[in-house]
Amino acid sequence: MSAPPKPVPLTTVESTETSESGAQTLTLSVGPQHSGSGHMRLIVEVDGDIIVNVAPDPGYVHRGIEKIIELRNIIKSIPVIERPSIIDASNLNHAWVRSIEEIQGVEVPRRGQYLRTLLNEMNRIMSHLYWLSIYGVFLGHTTMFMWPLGDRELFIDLAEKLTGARITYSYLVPGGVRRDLPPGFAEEAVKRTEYFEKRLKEYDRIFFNNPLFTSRAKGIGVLSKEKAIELGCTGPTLRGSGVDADLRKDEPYAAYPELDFEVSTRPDGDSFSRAMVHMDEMRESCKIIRQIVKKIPSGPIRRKAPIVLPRGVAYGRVESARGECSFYLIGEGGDKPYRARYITGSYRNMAAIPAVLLGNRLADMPTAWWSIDYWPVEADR
Amino acid sequence: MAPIIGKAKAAVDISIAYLTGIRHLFHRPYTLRFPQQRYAVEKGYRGRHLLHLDRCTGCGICAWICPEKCITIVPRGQRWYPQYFYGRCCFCHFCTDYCPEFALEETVEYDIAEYTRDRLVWSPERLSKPPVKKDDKYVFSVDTIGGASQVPQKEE
Ligand code: SF4
Ligand code: SF4
Repeated sequence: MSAPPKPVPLTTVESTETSESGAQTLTLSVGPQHSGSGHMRLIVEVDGDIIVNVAPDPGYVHRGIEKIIELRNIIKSIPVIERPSIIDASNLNHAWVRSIEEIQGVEVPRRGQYLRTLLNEMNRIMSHLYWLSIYGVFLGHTTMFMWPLGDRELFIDLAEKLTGARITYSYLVPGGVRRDLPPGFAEEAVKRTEYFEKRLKEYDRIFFNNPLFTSRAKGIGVLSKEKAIELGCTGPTLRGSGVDADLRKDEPYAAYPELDFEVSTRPDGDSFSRAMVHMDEMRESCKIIRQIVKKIPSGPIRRKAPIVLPRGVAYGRVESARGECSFYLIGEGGDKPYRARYITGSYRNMAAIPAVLLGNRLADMPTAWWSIDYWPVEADR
Repeated sequence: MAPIIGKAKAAVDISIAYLTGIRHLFHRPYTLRFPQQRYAVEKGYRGRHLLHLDRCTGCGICAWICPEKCITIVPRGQRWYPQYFYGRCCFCHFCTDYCPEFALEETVEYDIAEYTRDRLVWSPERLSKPPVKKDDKYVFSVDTIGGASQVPQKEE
C-alpha cells in the first residue's frame, strides 16, 4: 500500500488531485452512515473507477470495553463482553470464561463443555446467516436478504429454548453453563438442522450458483495465501485463502476434540472462496450440533467457581465466527481484573481491507469488502 | 464453442434460481403482525421478573450483582424490597440466579414497553403481580415446514 490518503472532511465527494504521474484521482468517503460500509468509513481514492488507495477509518462505535471490564467484577463483565458482536455472543463469552478458568484453575464438567460447544456452533450459524443476508442486500439480491434472516429464526428459537434469551445469552459462566438442556431439545435440534441443510441447497441454487453472483465474485478481491498470513488474517478470511488454520482443530478446546468435523478451506482467495467457506462452515456446524445432542454425557453442568480472580496471567482464545477471539487477562487477587486485553477476529482482519480492494473497480467494492465479514462494532470494541 | 456452453449454463442456472424463488411464493412467512399475533415463548424465557414478597429479605444481593445498576432497594414499612428500572435492564437474569432466597423468578412477559420513562420503574408491588394472561388465540411458533405456524389451542 502507498502512503495513506490525506484526511478529508466528512462529506461525500472530495478534492480531485493530480498525482505525480499526471493522472487525476478522486477521493471518496464511503460511510460512516452505513451506506454499504458498516459503522465505519473507508476513504477510497479512485482513478477513473479503479481503486488506487484505501484507508479504513474505524472507531465510530468504540465503547472502551477493555476499560469497563477493569471496573467490574468478572460476572458483571459478561453482558458487556457480548455486546461488541451480539450476533456471535457466546463465542466471545467463551474466550472470556476460558481465560478466567485458566487463572482460577477450575475444570469444567464434560456436560458443561458439550453445552458450551452446542451454543457456540448455533451462534456460528446465526452469525454466518446474518453476514449472508447483508451480503445479499449489498449485491442487490433482496431474496438473499430475506431468507437467511428468516432461517436464522430457527436457531434463535432453539437458543431461546436452551438459554432463555434470544440473542445475548450470558449463558457461559466461569465453571460451566447456567442451564441444562430442556426436555425435547435433541429431537427439535435434529429436525431443524436437517431442514436447514435442505435450505442451504436452495441458497446454492438461488445465489451461489447464480451467474448474477458468481460473475461478480469470482476473481474479485483476491487475497493470496502469503499475503493473508503476512497480514495476520484469521477465520474464514484466512481459510478462504487456502490456509488450513482453525483453533477448533489446532488447539482443541471444550468438546471439540471428541467431535468429528472438517475444516473447510478454499484455495483461490477471492470473494467467492470466502463466501463458500462460510457456507461450508454452516454445514459442518449442523453436523456438529447433531453429534452433540446424540453423544452428550450426563453429569453436572457447572462446577463451583469463586467470584475472585487470583493473582496470575492467562491467555484464553477460541475460534469465533469471524476468526480468533482472545483475552489476555491479568488478575491481582480482587474480583476485578487488573487488565484485560480483548482482541477479536474483525480487528485482525481489518488489515486485509486495503489488500482486497486495491486494483478493483469501485462497483466491485461491496463484493470484495463484505466477503471479509468485517463487523465494525466487534473491531472497535 | 466454450462461450456458447458457458452462456447456456448461465441461462440454466438463472432459470433454476428464479424457479427456486417462485416456489417460495406459496410458503408461509416468518413475519408476524405483532400485537395481534405473537410468538409462543415457553417457561424459562427470560422476560420480566416476578418478585415473591414473602420470600424476599431485602438483602440487596440482586442489586449488587446487577451489571446495569438498575435495581434500587426501597423501604416498605419495616422491610426492604428491590425496585427495578426496566429502561436499563438487559435481562441477563443474574439477579434471579444470585438471589439466595429464590424470591425472584423469570416470567414469559416480554412486551413491557411504555410511553413514558417513569412507567418503566417497577415498584415491588408491581413486580409481585404475576403476568396477565394474554389472549392466546393467535400464538405462533417457528416451524420447519417453512415459516411460522399457529399453535393449536388447548381445550379448556
Ligand atoms: S430479591 Fe433476593 S437478592 Fe434481592 S433483596 Fe430480595 S432476597 Fe435479596
Ligand atoms: S436481569 Fe440483569 S440487568 Fe436486569 S435487573 Fe436482573 S441483573 Fe440487572
